[in-house]
Amino acid sequence: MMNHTMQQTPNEAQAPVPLRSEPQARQDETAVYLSRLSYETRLILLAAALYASLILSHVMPDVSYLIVVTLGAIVLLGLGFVLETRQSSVLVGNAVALMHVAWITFALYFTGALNSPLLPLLYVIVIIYTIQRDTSQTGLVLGGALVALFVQLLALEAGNIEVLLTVGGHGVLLTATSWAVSKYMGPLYEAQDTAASEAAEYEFKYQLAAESSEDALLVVDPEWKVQELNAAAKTMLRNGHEAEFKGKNMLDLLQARNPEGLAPHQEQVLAGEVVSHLPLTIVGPNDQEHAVLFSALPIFEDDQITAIRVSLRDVTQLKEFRQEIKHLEKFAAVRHVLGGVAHSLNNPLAIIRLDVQVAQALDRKPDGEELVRQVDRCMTALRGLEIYTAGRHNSTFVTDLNEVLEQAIVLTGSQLMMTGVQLNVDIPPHLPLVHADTHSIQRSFVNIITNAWEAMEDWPGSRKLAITARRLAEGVEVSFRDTGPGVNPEEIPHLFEASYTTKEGAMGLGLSIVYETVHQTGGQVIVSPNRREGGTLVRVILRLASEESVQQYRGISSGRVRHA
Amino acid sequence: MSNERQRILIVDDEDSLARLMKMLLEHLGYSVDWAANGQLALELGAQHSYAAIICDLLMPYVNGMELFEIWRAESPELAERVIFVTGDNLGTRTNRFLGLCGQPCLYKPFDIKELTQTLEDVTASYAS
Repeated sequence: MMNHTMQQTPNEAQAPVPLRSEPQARQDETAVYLSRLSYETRLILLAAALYASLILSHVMPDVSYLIVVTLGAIVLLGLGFVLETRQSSVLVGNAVALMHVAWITFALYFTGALNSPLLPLLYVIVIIYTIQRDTSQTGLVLGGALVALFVQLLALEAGNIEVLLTVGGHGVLLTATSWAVSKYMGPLYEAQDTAASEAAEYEFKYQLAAESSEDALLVVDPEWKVQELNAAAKTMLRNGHEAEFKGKNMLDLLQARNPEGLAPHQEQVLAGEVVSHLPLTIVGPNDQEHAVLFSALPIFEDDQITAIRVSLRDVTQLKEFRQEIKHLEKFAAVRHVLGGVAHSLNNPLAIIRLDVQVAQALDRKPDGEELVRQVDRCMTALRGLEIYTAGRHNSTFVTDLNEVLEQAIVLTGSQLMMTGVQLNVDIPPHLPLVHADTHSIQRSFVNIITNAWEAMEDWPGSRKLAITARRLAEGVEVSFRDTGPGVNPEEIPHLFEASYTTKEGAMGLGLSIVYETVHQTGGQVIVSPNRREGGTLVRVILRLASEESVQQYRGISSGRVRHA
Repeated sequence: MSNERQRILIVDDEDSLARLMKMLLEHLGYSVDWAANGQLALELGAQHSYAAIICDLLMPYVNGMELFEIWRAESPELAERVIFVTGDNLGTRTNRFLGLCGQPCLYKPFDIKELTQTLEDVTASYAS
């Protein structure tokens, strides 16, 4: 496992790694560091080289021995340079050691000190210095110089000037080689060391990140049996009783509410494809349902799927949060409307109160007609609120536009006046009944007016809203023409998308509701720039109600009046 | 009470309400002018001096807030005599404005006593 990880190229190092607990990951890091030096490999190679050179020195006790050993060392050296991998340092180190040993053995052979008791000591020095290479670059140079000096001393002791000069020359050469090797291989070693320690650190961090991830991460085998999993996965899969997960089938642990929906995707993964963000409902801890997004990535080794990495993202809270926002948005709209209703009620109520009190103060009768008129105003506002908040669809889908437009204007009038928006209404009386849901279409009109108002709220230019209606052959067209900043033609296609908005702090549900409402009964909404005065023109075209539904509507609405 | 000859301006687009207030205040001895919109109020304000101005906040064209700002900049003696009247009791914008302007406000539907009391407070300072 460890060596396998080490032999990965940097690209492979980013491939998914199994998940382990934190203490285990630390142990692994130490192990990786030790294996990086690969003492065992080098000791075995070195011992083999020494043994081979000793045998060789007996088989061919002349210069040809030296040539063979040197050639072997050069091959190793060459390999080390060419490969430029982690192993090259081992090869080069051994090549240098081999050359040293060859020269020493050669020198001993010439000086006749082959059976010297110093020989084992010499070998020990060579071994130590060679394996020291990784920790000290200067060790290589010093070691080379030491060996050369040692051979010089042996030659001097033997009084052999020729050997002294020859070995001395070779010693210098050897030292130079060692120095060159350390100089040119040094940066390579260092780069490799850094890369290796970075890889180890990366792996460590990756494991930490995986472990602390809020997403549940698992590695399963092709039979979906759990091999590794992080803390979040344990929490998500612990259905109150599971203590051990490894070796268990992930799908059993998941307890998906819709397992049949998962099956085709499982096959997809086993066929080598990636599955991403598949929504699932699973039963989590305490038997609570969780909305999760399921992703799976097959991991290949030699064209075979050996494992599957699975991630499960819990989106339950996100879903709740979205609903909450939708709710708040709705609440904000209702608050606007309530403000409008309060205003529409407070005015007639003030008149009623004053009428009665002034009559008392002046000792005269209150104006009965006036009072009834003001009570009617209150009722219009309340009826508008009733329809706005009812949320019920009328069964006939027949709407009196005169009534609904009046309500929408009553509900939004105070907003418009507050911001100094000049409202011009031109709606002919007795418009034909149209095919639309009264509640939804009233709400749509409120939304359109509110949009116009919001667009003009801080608009420095002219602030006017014209609401007009006209009969068409097959329906009625209601137009809302404002003089606000206007709409960018590029934005028009997006205006009806839920959550599209150009307003800060708004969620953009307004026009998407309008679109849905109007299209539901075969109508049309057309948004275009208000070419006459700048600003935006919203046209709502509604189909006429059918004769049959009108009959039905009259029945219901007369019933309602009687009942009231 | 020196109500005699004190001049009051009512600015309100609700003619029923304005008519009732005018009737009451005239009964109490004030001399009352009525402007149905902000534009008219500006014209009247330029012609006369008023002991109090009863002004609706929400009106088409020039609303009460805009009217007040114009007076505050051009005729502060009129601005400080304003008593606001509003039915927009929930409006955040309205309440923010009222909190900042420092003028008294009658919330609809107000009591006749609130109206006369506030009016007396404002006109008393005018008399002195």
